[in-house]
Amino acid sequence: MSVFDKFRSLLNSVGENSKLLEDQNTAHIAVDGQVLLSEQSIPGVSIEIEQQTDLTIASITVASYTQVLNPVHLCFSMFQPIGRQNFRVHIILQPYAKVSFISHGLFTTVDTAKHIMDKTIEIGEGASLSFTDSHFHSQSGGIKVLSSAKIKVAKHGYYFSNFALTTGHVGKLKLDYSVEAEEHAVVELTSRIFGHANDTISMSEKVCLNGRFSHSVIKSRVALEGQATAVITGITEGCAEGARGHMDCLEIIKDKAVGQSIPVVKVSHPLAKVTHEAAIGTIDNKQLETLIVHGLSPEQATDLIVLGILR
Amino acid sequence: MKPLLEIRQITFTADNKSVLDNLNLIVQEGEIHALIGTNGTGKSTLARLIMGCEGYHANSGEIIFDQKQINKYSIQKRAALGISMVWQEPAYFEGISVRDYLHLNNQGNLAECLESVGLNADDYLLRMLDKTMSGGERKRIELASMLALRPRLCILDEPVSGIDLLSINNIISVIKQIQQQGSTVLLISHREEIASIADRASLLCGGKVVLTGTPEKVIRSYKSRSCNICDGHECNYVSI
Repeated sequence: MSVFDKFRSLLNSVGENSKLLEDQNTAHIAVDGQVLLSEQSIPGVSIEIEQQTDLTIASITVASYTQVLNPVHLCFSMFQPIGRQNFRVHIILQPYAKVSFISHGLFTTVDTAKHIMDKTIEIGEGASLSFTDSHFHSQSGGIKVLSSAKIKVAKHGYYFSNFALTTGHVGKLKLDYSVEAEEHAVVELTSRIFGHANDTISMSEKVCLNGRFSHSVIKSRVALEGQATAVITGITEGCAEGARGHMDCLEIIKDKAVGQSIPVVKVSHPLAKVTHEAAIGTIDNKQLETLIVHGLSPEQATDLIVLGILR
Repeated sequence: MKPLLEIRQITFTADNKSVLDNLNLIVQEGEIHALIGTNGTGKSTLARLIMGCEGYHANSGEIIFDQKQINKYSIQKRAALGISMVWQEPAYFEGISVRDYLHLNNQGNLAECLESVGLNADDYLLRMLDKTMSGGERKRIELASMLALRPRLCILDEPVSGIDLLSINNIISVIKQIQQQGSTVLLISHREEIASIADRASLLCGGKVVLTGTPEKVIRSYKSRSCNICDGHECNYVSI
């Protein structure tokens, strides 16, 4: 079986349809390790790839006023059990473009490896980007994911990101996102992570509400078991009239896991407002008992509650 | 009729304060039994004791369900016997849809259960049971879940709290429907119009059941603000 066939099979196994890689109307990049397997631009979405020895650089531009019907897919795998993947992507949405991206981190066969993802994103005036980043890991716990992003959202722009790592063992995750929002921009950052065994999670998400009436929400949902640890840092700065930010962190811990939430709120304009809420602890007893009186065992009830917050 | 639930001489203290004091209560199989009392008389505490919620275990006395003493039974085991409960303020759940929730161990048609509580199935089955739902909507979903679950004993703690006045008749008909489906209902309420639908009622005062009888008789005593029956100095009625 060729690497590309294995790649297709892996994509199907996580619930995606690998036929998207042949679809003439779907822009995509598929990379295994540092090897580019496939890429496709479509009208309105231009993709340029530059490959260096240990780095792949992609530039993706979505033309003004383009509404891209099918999500752009960024697919990453590492079939070698030991390896390193270094990917840098620069995404530009020209004014009033609208597009969604789905990024798949397919690391289900990895033993010891490092995946480095460095994103810079520029969202033009009135443009809209939805970026879903789903990781599927092996049970080895030997993968390190270092993901950083610097995002600028111009006035009336919209940025939604959804990071999910709920399948397999996290390994070590270091996620560092920073967003600057201009006038009337809207930013939503959501993350859902399930840590097991000795997984280590460090996540920092920062939003600077620089523009008037810019809005943001940072929502983190983390479940931890075994001896997993998580430090979730949410930072929101309200710097302009009418800026509104909210951070919401929920961590459920079991066994000897340790969860930590660090909210940082900075407001430098009297008409800006930033709020935060955090809850870390075991499963809520009332939720648990409610499900038990509906016939579930305590274990089934716990699983359903955890599944719910990570959904 | 035979007793489905018997509470015998139950005493419960919390923070060194007596909440229930040698309380006795019999709920007959198939009836709607209303438990009436002012705020703080221990109605919700009794509900949690019957259900076996964490932190609610009687200091003394017996809880008999279907002729079995269940004092030491876990909440899970009590649920397996057919005891279920709707909390006064139901829990919210992220990421769990109404459909998922009603599917839990249910025996009824989900859409019909929702329609019975005045909710359109097309609008609600895919809704999440999270904070986007109002208290009234959440309470209706709980009642729908009881229609779907068909427990042997259904404890309803203040089932109309959070429900708008115009919909109270709908909730009353749902409670009757739960009974018609074969469930015995222990209906906890301090509202006269709700208690009046019961087959029998009991008045709780000073941690004791001080009167059991027809709803009319019990409500009359409740409204008179003087139970004249209990001998405790903590009587909720004479102190008002």
